[in-house]
Amino acid sequence: MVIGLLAACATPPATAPPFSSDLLFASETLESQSLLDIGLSVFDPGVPEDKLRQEQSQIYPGVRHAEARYLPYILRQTLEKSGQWGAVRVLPQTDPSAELLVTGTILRSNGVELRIHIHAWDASGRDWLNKVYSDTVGWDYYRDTQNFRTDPFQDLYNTIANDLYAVRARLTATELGRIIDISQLRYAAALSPGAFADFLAERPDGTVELRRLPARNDPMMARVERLRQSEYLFIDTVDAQYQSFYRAMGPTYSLWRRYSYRQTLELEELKQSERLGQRGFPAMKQAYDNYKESKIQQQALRELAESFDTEVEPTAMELEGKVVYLNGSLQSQYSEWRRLLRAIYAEETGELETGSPEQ
Amino acid sequence: MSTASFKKSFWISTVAMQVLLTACAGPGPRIGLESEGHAQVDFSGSWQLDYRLSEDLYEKIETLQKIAIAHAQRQPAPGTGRRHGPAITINNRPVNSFRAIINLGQMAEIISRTTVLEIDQTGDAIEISRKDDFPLSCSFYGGMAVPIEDALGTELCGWDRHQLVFRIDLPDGFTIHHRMTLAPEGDKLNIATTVQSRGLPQPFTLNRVYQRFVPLADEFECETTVSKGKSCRRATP
Repeated sequence: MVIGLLAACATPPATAPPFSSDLLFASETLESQSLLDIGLSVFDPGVPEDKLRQEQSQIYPGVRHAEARYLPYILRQTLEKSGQWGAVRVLPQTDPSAELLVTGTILRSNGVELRIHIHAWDASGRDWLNKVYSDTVGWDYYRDTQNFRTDPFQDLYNTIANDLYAVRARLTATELGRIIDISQLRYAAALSPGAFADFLAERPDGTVELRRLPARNDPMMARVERLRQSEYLFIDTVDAQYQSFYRAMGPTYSLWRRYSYRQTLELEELKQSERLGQRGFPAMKQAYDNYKESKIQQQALRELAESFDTEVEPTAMELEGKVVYLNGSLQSQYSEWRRLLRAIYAEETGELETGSPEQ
Repeated sequence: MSTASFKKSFWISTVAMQVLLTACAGPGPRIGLESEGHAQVDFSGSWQLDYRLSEDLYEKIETLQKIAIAHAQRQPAPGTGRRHGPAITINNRPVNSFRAIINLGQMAEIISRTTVLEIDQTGDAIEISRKDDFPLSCSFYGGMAVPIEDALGTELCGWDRHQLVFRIDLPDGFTIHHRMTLAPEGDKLNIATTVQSRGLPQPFTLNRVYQRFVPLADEFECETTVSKGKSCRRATP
């Protein structure tokens, strides 16, 4: 990460110093039983309800809502690229049965600084990460980089990925296997609490303990696994929509951050300059043009974020030999899909539908 | 005109402009803006620029220059009895004031260049979409108007009696005011755009007048989508 001219001017990160971090890649092909799947929830945009606070904190809700979908996608790509994990999926909403669930809250995001609170925990409820990540970027990046696919804050994502890897590296293969087992049983217990609740026990600290495992050839467990694969299929389908959003937003977002950064830099230069107040027409025009362009990019991002919810296409999924069409936002499609899976399970087993899909 | 007489004329006009433009410019910024909306003043609708009623930058500068020259020629320089004024200085440096005024005028012209406005007004917010420019928006809260600050600049908006005022502070002490006034009949809208730069003694104001119009029914409808970006099509009748 380039720490440029503004490093001294930008607000320093609260919990971590600016860093330069290379992504740690898997050095060997890992055994599949050691590869945890990661569920990445769409981030919390961190927008206060009070409009006055939004404006005073320089938070543009439209931009933040777009970032809440954009930033986890970059983290997803980073985690995938490391080769340290199984499937990494961006989820429209949290899934407590995920083998490893990562959530994020955006605390600050402008062209100069990105600050995110990351919380990660596994299916057993054990915390992996619960800290604030922050990084600053220098003008060199914006000057040299035209391609939005190279994110200015890539070091931050690398560090998150490396920290997750560090936690995983401390776990034995048995412990990793147990997380996968607990994950499956939590999913099963959400479908059929009566049949699977006994396999797990909650400890006083809120974590979950594996008491016993179902038989390998348990037909109910096989059914659960089949339904879970259907759920993953849905997530992989909607993933394409997040990818489209990432591609559509990238160039505009990159421009917005660039203008925001440049203006910040100029402002800091001016404060230290004897030329203050004595610049001519080109300087005035430059200041206005920068402001105008950043406002236009801001508006474009807001429109894009608003369009995402309304434009999300109906998803056609094959389910038990039938084609099911899901409408509405990705969140509601996801909820509906999970409800259908639960209904199928209940029908197959003769159980009454109970519980919520979110467990 | 000889070089010497041109310089003299230019110098005289520069001095006189200092005096005259203060009076010619629009009212200065008022900080005590009200946040309570004036329900009786409704800007909402579509507006298009009326070139005939709007000020033209170069005509305005030319007129001001003529008046300034005439005014300066009547003012003897102090202590000399000659018709020359004192040198103009800012921070003890001589300033080419007339050039600076032209600069401000050009900025005012650029900033107020938009030809079409679409205004949405509710009880607690006004959004002004401007063709080929960024929208101006103002939300009203209880109490005083609160500035919106970010690295790019500071925005303040609010009511000054029946007028809606936007103030944008940009780096380098460069300030823009848009003062919007609705004609009593509600068919015309005047936007006085004032630009001011720290270090220059007076602002420059350019008035633009807009007329209400009804958008054609068969205009294009545009939308921004994730898959297609911004796309437009003819509106369905």
